[in-house]
Amino acid sequence: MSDLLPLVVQYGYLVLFAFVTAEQIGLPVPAVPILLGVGALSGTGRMSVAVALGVALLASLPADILWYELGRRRGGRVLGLLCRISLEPDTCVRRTSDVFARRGGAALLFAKFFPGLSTMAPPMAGASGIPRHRFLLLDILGALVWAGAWLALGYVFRDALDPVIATASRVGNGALVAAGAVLAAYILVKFVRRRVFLRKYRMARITPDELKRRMDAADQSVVIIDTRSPLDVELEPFVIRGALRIPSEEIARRHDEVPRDRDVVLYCT
Amino acid sequence: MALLLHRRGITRVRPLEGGLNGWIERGLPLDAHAPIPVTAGREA
Repeated sequence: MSDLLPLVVQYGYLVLFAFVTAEQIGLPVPAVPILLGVGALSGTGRMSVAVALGVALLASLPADILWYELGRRRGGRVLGLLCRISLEPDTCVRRTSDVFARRGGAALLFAKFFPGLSTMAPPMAGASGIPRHRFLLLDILGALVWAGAWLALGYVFRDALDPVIATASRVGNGALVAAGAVLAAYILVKFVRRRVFLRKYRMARITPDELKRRMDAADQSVVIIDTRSPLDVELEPFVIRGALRIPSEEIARRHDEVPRDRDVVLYCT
Repeated sequence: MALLLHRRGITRVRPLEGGLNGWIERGLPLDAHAPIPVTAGREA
């Protein structure tokens, strides 16, 4: 353990800053294992929970503020952009807006605990018109609660993490290479799964131009359904001409309204 | 959503590429929708 500790202590905060920043930007990089490790090292007196909290806050705030301001200026379009790089582009905006519709700005307090929602929450807060001072307060509290919880877990269960750190120290710098390889494999698997999913889903997609052509031709074999949540509709109070409004949470109750013998075009934000 | 419809026998489901934003970006026509009285989880 003593061989690796100087390296981790020396670069620990930098690694923590990099991982938290990357995760808040929206990259598929998990910051939680780093927080747990820093928490465990704090328990041995080699690092400081207070400094780690400050670093985590400094790392998350710039990205959050940037997403908030983009959401404030561009509204739902920013959410659409973020969702285009997610695994489920047609449902992720709705899921996030549903959380905001249910919890309001308080969703920022726990958003960081949920992958995806963590990055989506700040632009949604901006698009929802939550004032800057309220956003900053809730976002800072949310970051402190999130980082504090994982640091505390690492601190309390440092003895359980000890063997892991001890093994890593025996391997020496190879541990860093191994960790890098695991991270690279993780990102590769996420990337491949996303590509496979998107390829399968895109096969059935319809472009706006094709839909417009079919509408202009008075094509009766197509029906359009607007699946946005009430909050999304409030942000963009328009519908595509002739669309049925069936929010996704109502589909179980209202699916009989959807014709079975036509192409059903779904859209959200 | 597509899966939900598929399970209920609605199989010809086609997601609109780019969603409503993609439609708006191309300047295609829209109808106004009456505002819904909900603001971030609170009744207006």
